[in-house]
Amino acid sequence: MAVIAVQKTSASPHGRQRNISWLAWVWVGPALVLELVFFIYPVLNTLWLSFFNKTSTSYVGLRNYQRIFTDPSLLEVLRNNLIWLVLATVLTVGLGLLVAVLVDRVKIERVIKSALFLPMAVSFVGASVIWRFVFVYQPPGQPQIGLLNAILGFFGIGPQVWLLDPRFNTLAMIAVYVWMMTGFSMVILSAALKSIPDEILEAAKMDGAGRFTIFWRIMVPMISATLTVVTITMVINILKIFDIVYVMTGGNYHSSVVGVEFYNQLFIFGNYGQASALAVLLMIAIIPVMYFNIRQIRQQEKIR
Amino acid sequence: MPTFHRHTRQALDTLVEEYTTQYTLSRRTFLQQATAAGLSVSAASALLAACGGSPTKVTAIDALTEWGGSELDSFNAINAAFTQKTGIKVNVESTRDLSAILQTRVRGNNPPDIVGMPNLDLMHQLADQGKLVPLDKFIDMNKYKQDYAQTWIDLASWKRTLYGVLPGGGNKATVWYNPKQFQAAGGTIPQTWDDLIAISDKFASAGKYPWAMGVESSSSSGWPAADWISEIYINKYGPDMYNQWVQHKIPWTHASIKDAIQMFGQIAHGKHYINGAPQSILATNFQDASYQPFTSPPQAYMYYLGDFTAGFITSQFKTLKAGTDFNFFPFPMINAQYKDAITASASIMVAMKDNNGSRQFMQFLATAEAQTIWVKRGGTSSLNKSVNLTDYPNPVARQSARILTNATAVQLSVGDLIPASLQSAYWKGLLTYIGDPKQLDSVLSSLEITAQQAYQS
Amino acid sequence: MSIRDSKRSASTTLSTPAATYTSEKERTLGSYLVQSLSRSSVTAIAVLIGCLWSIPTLGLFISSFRPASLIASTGWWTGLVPPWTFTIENYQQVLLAQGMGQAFLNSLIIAIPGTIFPILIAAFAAYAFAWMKFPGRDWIFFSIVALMIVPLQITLVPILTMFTMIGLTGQYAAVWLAHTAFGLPFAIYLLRNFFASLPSDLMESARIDGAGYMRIFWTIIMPLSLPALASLAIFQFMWVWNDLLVALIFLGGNPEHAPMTLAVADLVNSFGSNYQVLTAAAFVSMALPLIVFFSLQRYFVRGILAGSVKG
Repeated sequence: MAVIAVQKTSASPHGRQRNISWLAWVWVGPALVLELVFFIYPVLNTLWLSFFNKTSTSYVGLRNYQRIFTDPSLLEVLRNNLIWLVLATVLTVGLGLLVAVLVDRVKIERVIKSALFLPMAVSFVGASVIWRFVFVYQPPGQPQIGLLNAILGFFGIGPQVWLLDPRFNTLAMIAVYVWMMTGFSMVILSAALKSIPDEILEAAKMDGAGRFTIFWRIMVPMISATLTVVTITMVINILKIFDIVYVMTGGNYHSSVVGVEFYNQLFIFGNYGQASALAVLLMIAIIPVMYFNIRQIRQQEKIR
Repeated sequence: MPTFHRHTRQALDTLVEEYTTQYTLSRRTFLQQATAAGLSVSAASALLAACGGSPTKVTAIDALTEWGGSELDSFNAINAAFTQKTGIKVNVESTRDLSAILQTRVRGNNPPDIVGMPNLDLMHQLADQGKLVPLDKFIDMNKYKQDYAQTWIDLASWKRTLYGVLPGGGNKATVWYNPKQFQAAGGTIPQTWDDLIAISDKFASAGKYPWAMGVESSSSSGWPAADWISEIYINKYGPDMYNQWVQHKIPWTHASIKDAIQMFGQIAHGKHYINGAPQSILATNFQDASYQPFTSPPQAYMYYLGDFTAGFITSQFKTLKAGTDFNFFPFPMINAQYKDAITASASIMVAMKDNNGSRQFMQFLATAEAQTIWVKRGGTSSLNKSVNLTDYPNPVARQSARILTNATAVQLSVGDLIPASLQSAYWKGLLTYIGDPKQLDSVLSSLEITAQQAYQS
Repeated sequence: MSIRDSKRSASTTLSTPAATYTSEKERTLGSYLVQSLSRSSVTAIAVLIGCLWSIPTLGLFISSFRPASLIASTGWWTGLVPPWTFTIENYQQVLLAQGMGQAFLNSLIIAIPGTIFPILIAAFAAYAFAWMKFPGRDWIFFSIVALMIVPLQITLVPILTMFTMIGLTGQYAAVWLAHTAFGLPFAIYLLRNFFASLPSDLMESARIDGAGYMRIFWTIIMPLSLPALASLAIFQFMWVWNDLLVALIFLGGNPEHAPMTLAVADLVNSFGSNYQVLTAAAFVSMALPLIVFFSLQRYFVRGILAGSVKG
């Protein structure tokens, strides 16, 4: 391995870099070993099991995959995942960016940031209790103890069963996710904004650039790499979303997602074949995203 | 992953032979070699015990349960008594996600010593995989048969081997009400189903809501409705038909099942029976619904759910007194022939590692002595006949336990006796039915398809 | 004066479209309108979002001081107006629960190494991925990042089998290792991105001065990436602190090492009664992550690069 590596890098202009290839392996070594030990077997094993039946005793070819794309209830699950993917990603990244920019260099920056960060610190169990107090439904005529229905009542509108109604439930849960995770993108994007040199912003202002221009022409391009990292991380987390749906609706009322189906197949129905196929589907889904990211990074390298 | 592969089987046979004939292997070496040959630790020690070795000695055992709060405190009280007797410590871990945690730990070769089973289906699977310790060998079966009704022994067994001990259970033929409010509104205790409907209509026509109902329970939503239907079914069609349903000897489209569900529908969809029905039934948590008859003024007058409901009521309304402020009446008779047939709940504890700790613990847990500790603290009924009725903390708990012990036929709710995939489909199907009763036929026929797949494997 | 000339040292290192920006021609009506918004209205929008985000938390906070019977029967906002019926019973139940002090300590013992290990290992790897050349670099990097998608549940059984074999289950080390392995993909992803954005001439000049990789890493890369390291530390700490699953699986059979999340879960009945203690528990367990957040927030400062570029 080292020999090949040396050959490849020997063209490097710096003499010092001749032997760095094997050195690089030392630097990535601990991480690489750990990830290989922890993930290689589970991932390959899952791929293998996905071609087998419920109890992993007989080969069934692509039947588990075929079921995902033909079973109407699973198709619905895929549709829900798509809604999640689009809305939750756009909202968490968009709002996170907006807040990071708005509060940048504003006096109350720390207060606002803390307000957005707070939901992240709440344990998941705590969050599910909080949102119960927002969505809970009482029949008309009873005092509404859920905030949303109380507000509707204030305007003379009857209470809605937010988590039961297929029109609202996925949106309601996306709202919870956005509430929890906007802080995440906000914190990272804010850290990236801080690395834009003051001089550039000041110069732009002196040139008479407006906020809007500074935002689109300077800030966004300059943190685009970080923006990609945040977006892709969000996409991945949302693809495998599980907790919120499992606790709030249990996947009932047409609100299930791949993560919940995977969990049920694995632990409730003991169907290892189907569970594995769902997990593999998730892994395949991010390959194009990764490919896009590789190309982007290589382009940035060229400029550097 | 199956425990035995053909090629490792041979290795094991040699190993066992070596151990039993030559005595050159220490227990430790035996276990190491057996696990290397593909056996789980528990299976290996079970094998060891089977070929004559005495159980491993331990000073502490690990328990994995679903219990929390006051339940966990009560279980720990039993554990304290056990530690005092034997010097063996019991470390309890609790999780609401027991099924997933347990399966992962079993497959990862690190099972706890003893486990409170989340459902029967999983117990049967684990027994089939040889992951459970058979109790027949060290539990005094004569005493066990004296203490427990055959139904419970059957429940704790699989393929004629006893695996489980039942630390407690509950009567599920209980309708909860607030005696003062109920009488003030002109209610009388219904003896038959017709009485029940009559009294409900009476409340309804007076502009009151006779029933509280809520089936929301996160990912297990629907089970309270399944309990209703089980209780109706065993009362009307008797335990034999009930068993046929559970074993899938009659199809899900059978007229009796449809009938029982529709009788439940009489309540769920009754005119002015439940405030905001059917949506409020689906949206309301089963526990929140249990409070409705006990608020002032009452939001409803009756609530059906097992006798553990008393715990919800007392923790929510700390000043209410059992018997005068809250009470239950037995589920009304539907068919006189089966008037003493009831549904019940039971918790089942199994051992997954064979050692002196888990053996002694299972022996102790089965006794009236151990179970009286929990009974006295309240919150559960004992299924052990030797537990004294006078040990129950209040007349309501005592009455519930009396019904449970006197019942001629007792069964768990249908949902708890069928395969897990079918259970989940059944609960979901009931949610659909509650939301739209017209869909009953399609729900039942799709359940039949699920059942055919579930019982096949 | 164009931006390009405004500060040569900065613009040479930051090769982004910003450098091609020309202001005068790009003025649009939209930007004019936005520009005319005063600073205070921007603040107002920020405050509005902040308030919106705080409402659920506020609801939880108020509920945590209300008795169970009121939580279930009236909205939390009714607790704001007299008659006030607040209680600290929920907090008492959590704080005085048996073993809660030990559980808090255990959580710390798990979370501190569970935060430091992955960040350090990730930083090493990220440095190599960002600034060293070796065959297959990008593919290895993205394979590791892609592991973020793997559902934890499928990895648990093989890892547990391995840990059981080497007798690691029930030990803190098992949890540290697991949290490190699970945290690495994101940590490497985030850090590589930040490391790569550091100005390359800094590295070049250090190398000319004879600095080795180790020295560059500790004296240039790490100090200059403080904002990124701080945000990563906050998240990793929080994830480990709030984790229940990893603890249940890998500490299995050793409740003496059980963290606070497990102790809190023990307070609620299996049927879910007593769940009002969760409101108090949520705030108790939030305390430490918040302290970490506030104390690391001072690293989120502008200009960390400003002085260094000249060198």
